Amino acid sequence: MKTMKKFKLTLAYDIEKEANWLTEMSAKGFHFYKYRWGFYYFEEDPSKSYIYQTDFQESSEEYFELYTEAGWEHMQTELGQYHYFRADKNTIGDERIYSDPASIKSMYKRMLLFYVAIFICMLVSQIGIVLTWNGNLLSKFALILVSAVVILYIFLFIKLLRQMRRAEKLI
Amino acid sequence: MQALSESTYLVLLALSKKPLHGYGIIKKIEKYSDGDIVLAPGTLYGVLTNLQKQKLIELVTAEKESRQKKTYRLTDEGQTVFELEYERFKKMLAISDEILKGAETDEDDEEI
Repeated sequence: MKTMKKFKLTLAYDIEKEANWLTEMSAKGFHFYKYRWGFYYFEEDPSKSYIYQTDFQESSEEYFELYTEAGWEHMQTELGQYHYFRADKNTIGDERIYSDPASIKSMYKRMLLFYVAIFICMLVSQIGIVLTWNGNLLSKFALILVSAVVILYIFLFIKLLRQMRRAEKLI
Repeated sequence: MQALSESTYLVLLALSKKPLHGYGIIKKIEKYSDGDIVLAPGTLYGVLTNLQKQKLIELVTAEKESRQKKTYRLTDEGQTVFELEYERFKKMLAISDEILKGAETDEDDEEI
């Protein structure tokens, strides 16, 4: 079977967009089966078409069992909580992994809390930069690097809050 | 008590008679609504997690089956919450019926 890979950067808040892209690719006959370091791997099969969905949730045995029984094939899990699923377009019809906006909002909220926790850990671990500050080049470089990451996180938080508000409007 | 979300109510309703496993909840609601309401797995799992945190349901191992399958069961508190919500829905329906029945005589209300 022919395979191909594509490089694409996806930020956490864009998982719905990512899933739509994978679904579009699948409609063209390229079916996503693996993600690694920014690369999406596809398998070619013009006879099939899948709907892709990504969930963010703490999983368990019951979790995967539920999804499997509901017709969703588990593809991969990233960072322990991002779960990629797919289902045959013809069998799943209009069903998706979420059936109400309130639960989509909860998903983005879980994501926000997850990144806030990482953010706080990072700030605590980098506090040394300030404590051992001696104004040399290395200190300055470290500070710039950390500042860039802080800005990135703030951007992420704003985007996630916006996703929550978008879902809330539909409730 | 704050009104429960529709999905939350449906889950408590599905579990009110007997414990079910996750997919069993979806099937039950689908069956009784003639296929109109299909809870999605992500939505259901989120609701189940929240209900467990609030101690309204609990996960129990069904011993009867050879394959160990976990089922969700209402706790006593869960049962109470469900009954309260059920009564609230019934009352809303009764009020709705009253108002709809009296629709033609609505003008009289002004005089009261």
